[in-house]
Amino acid sequence: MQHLHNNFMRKTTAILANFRKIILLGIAIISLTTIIFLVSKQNSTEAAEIQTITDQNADGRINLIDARILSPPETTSCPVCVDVNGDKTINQTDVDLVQRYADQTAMVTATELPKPKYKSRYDVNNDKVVNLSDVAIIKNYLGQTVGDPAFGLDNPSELTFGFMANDILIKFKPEATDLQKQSVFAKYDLNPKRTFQTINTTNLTAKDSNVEQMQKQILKESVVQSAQKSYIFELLTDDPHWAEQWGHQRIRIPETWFAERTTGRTPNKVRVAIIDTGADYNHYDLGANLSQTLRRNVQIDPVWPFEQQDVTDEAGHGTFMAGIIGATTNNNSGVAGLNWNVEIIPIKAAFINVYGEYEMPLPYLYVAMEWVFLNHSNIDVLNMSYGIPGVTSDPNIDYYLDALDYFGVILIAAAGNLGRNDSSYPANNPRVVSVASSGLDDNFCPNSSGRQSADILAPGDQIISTVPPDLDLDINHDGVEYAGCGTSQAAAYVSGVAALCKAVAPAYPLRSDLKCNKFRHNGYGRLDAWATIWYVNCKRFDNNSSGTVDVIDIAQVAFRSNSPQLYNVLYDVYPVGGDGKIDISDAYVQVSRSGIRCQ
Amino acid sequence: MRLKYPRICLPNKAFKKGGVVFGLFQVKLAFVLISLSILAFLVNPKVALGQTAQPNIFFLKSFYLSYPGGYPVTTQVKLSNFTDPDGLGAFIFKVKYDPNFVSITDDNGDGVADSGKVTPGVFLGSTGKQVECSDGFIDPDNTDSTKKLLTFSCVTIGLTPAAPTGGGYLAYINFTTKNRLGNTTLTFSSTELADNTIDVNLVPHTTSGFQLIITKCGDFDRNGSVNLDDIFDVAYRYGATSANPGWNPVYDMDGNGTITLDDIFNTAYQYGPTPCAAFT
Repeated sequence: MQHLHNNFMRKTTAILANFRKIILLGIAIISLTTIIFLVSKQNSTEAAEIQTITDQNADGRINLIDARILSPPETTSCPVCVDVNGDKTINQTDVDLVQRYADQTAMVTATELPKPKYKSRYDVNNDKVVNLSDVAIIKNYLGQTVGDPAFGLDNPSELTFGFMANDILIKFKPEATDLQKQSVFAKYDLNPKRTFQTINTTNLTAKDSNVEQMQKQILKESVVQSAQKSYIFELLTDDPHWAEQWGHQRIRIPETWFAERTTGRTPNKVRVAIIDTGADYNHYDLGANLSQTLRRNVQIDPVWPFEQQDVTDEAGHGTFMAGIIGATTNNNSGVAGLNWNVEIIPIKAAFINVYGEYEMPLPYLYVAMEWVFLNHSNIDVLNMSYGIPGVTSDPNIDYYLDALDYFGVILIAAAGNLGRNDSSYPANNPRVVSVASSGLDDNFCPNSSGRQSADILAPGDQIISTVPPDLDLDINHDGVEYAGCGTSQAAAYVSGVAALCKAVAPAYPLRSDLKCNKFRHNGYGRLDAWATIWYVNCKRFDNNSSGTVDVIDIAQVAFRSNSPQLYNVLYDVYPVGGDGKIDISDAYVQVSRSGIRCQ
Repeated sequence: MRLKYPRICLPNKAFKKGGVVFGLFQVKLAFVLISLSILAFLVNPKVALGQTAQPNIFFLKSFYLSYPGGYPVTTQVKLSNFTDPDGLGAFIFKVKYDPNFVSITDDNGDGVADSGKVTPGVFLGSTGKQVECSDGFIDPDNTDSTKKLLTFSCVTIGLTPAAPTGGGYLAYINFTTKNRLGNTTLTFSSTELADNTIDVNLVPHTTSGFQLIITKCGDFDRNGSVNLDDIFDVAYRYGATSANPGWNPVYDMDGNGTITLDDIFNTAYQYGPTPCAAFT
C-alpha cells in the first residue's frame, strides 16, 4: 500500500514537474511569439516608410492618404502622416488645426449651417471624418519630427499637400530646341499634355506614379532648367469667405500670389502701419499678422508705456482695414488678407466722442504721425483711411509726410466718401497716393470723392473683412462682415498691394517706377496688383540669373525685336503676360531696368 | 643767402621790389614752364590711355575743371578700339561719383536724371541700327554710402544691319557742381559691352575715369581771362595761411586755408579766356 502510495506520489510529482515545464514552455512560446510578432510588426512599419510611395488609392494623387494607407499612424510610427501643416515638427499647432476643424464641424452640425469642405489632410486615420479621434492620434506624436527621406521622397513633407501621380513639369532652358525637348520626352517615356508658353514649361504624363527618381534624372539633362512634381495647391485659400472677396480677384491677387511667389514665404515681413481705431489682437483671423512689438495708443501718456500698447478696437474700423491688408490666409477661417506674410502695426488715434461717434482730433494725429516718423525705419507702408475735405495742407502733417516720403515709406490715403471731385486731406498731399473707391463695374462708387483728383481706383464696395466678434452683428457671428462703399477699404487695398510690391521689389529701389508708390492704371484706372508687381519683380528681368539686370539680359530682348523667328516668351516682357511679339516696347521696358541688383 | 624758392609772405612790397628781382624771375619762369606743361596736356588730352589692345571706355578728358555752385560739367564718354567683328550691340556703364562735389539734375527726386542730362552718343547707331537707351538712373552705391551711381545703357534693336566697330561717343553726361571745392575722381564702377549676336557675348575691355577739380575762379583781375598775372597773384602768396595778417581767401583756390602748389596749379589750369568772373 505504502509502495503504491509512493509510486503514485512519484508519478504525480513527475506529472506536476512536467506540467510546470509545459506551462513554462507555453509561456516561453507565447512570449517568443509576441516578440516575433512585435519585431515583425516593427519591420513592417519600417518597410512601409522605406518603400517608395505610390498612388495607393488610385485617386490620381500622391498625398497623406496614401502614406496613411501604407503606414497607419494609429498603429505604426509615421510622423509625416500626422504633420498636417507640413513644418516637419509635430506640435500643438498640428493639434490645434485639426481640433479647430473638428470643432467647426460639430458647430455646423448643431446650427445646420453649410458644412465645411472635408479636408483629408486633417483626417489622420483615413476614416472620412475629421473628429477628436484624429486629434488623439496626433497627440501621441507631440514632440516628434519628420525624418528625411521617407516613402522614397527626399522631402516627405511634399505629401502634406500632395502632388499629382504620373505627372511632371519640365521647364527648358531658353536655348532648348523642339528637337532637344522631344529627345528628352522620348528618353523618359513622357507624353506631353500641355505647354505653358509664358513660362517655357511642359506638363507631361509619366509611366511612374511617383516621379521623384525620374525628376532627379531629368534635372541632369543639359537643356532642362527645372523639373518638378505637379504640386497641388489648395483652392487659393481655404478661407471660407474667399469666394465673396471679389476685390481680391478683380485686382488679380491669385495670379500675383502664385506667379510672383508672395504666398507667405517672404523671409522679411513687409511692415504696414495703420493709423485708425486700433485692431483686435484677439481676432482668430488676424492675430498672426499683427505686430507683437510695435503698436501705439496715442491717447495714453508716454509715462504709461504698457498702457500705450493697448490698441483695443471698440469701433472695428481699424480691424477691418487690417483684415484687408493681412487677415490670416489659408487658415480655413474667415477671410484672406492680401498678404500672406505681413506685419501690421496698428496705431490707435480715433476715439469715441460724447455723441458716440469716432473721431480723430488733430493733436492725436500729430502724436500718431510723430510716432510713425520716429519708427520710420520699421515701417514700409502707412495706411491712412481717414481724411478731412476742403483742407489742402497742415504744416505739421506735411512735415511728417515729407520726411516719411524721404525715408521711403509709401503713403496711402483715402480720397473721401463725399462724392467730391477733389480728395480729402491728407490724400491730396502730393506725396500721398490718393485712393478712390470702385464697385463691381470698376467705376467710381457713387459716394467716392477724388473723382477728378484720385491717383487710383481700388475696390471699395461690398468688401468683406474682419471685425471684432462682439461687433459682428450678422447672423453667423463669425468675425467677418461686409461694408458698403468706402474709400477707406479702397485705401487698404492699395496699401496691401504696396506691401506685396515691396516684397518683390529690388533692394534699394530709387527709380520712380520701382518705388512701389506709383500704381499702374488699368481700364478705369483701377488697381491691378499683378500689373503693378510684375514690373518691379527684378528677377523676372534677370533672365540669366546673374543677380543683376545686365547687358546680356537687355540685349537678349532687344536683339529679338521685330524678328518673329527669334521669338521666345521669356523675353516678351511687355505688356504684362506678353503679347506674342517682341518689339521696341519690350526693349524699352527691359532697358529701363538695366543695372538693377536683384535680392 | 638767396632762396631758390623763396617763401613769400604778403604784404611784402620790399621783397617784391627789392633786390630779389632775379629770384622772382626764376619763380616766374618756373610757373610759366609748369603752366605750359599743363596747357600742353590740356590741349592734347587724348590720353594715350585709350590706345590699348582692348577696347577702352573712357572720358574724353582725363580731368575736367569747374567752379562751385551749380556750374555745369559736360563730359563725354567714349569707346575706342572696338575690333570685335560682330560689332557693338549694347552697353551698360555705371559712373561712381561723390554727390558732395557733383550731382546730376533730378528735380523731382525720382532717381531718374532730368531730360537732357544724360544723352546717347552717336557711335552705337552709326551704322543705321535703331537704338533704344535707358534714362540716366541715379542709384545709391551699395558698397559705399558716400557715393552714388549713374547707370546708363543702350541697346540696338534687332540683329541687322551690322553693328559698329572702331570707336566713338557712347554718351554725354552733364554733371552740376555742388558748393564744395577740391578734387574728386569719377570712375566707372562697372561696364559691360555686348557683341551683336543672338548669344550675346561680353567683350573684355578696360576703363578710365577722370579727375574733376572744383576751384575758385582764377580771373582775379576780372579782365575776362586767366593770364600770368593771375597765376603770379597766387604764386606770390605761396605758403600763406588764413592765420596770416592780410590773408585773402580769394587766392585759396581749393579752400583749404593755405596757399599751396595746388592753388597755383588750379589757377594755371584756367589759363586763357574765361567767363568765370561773371558767376563766381
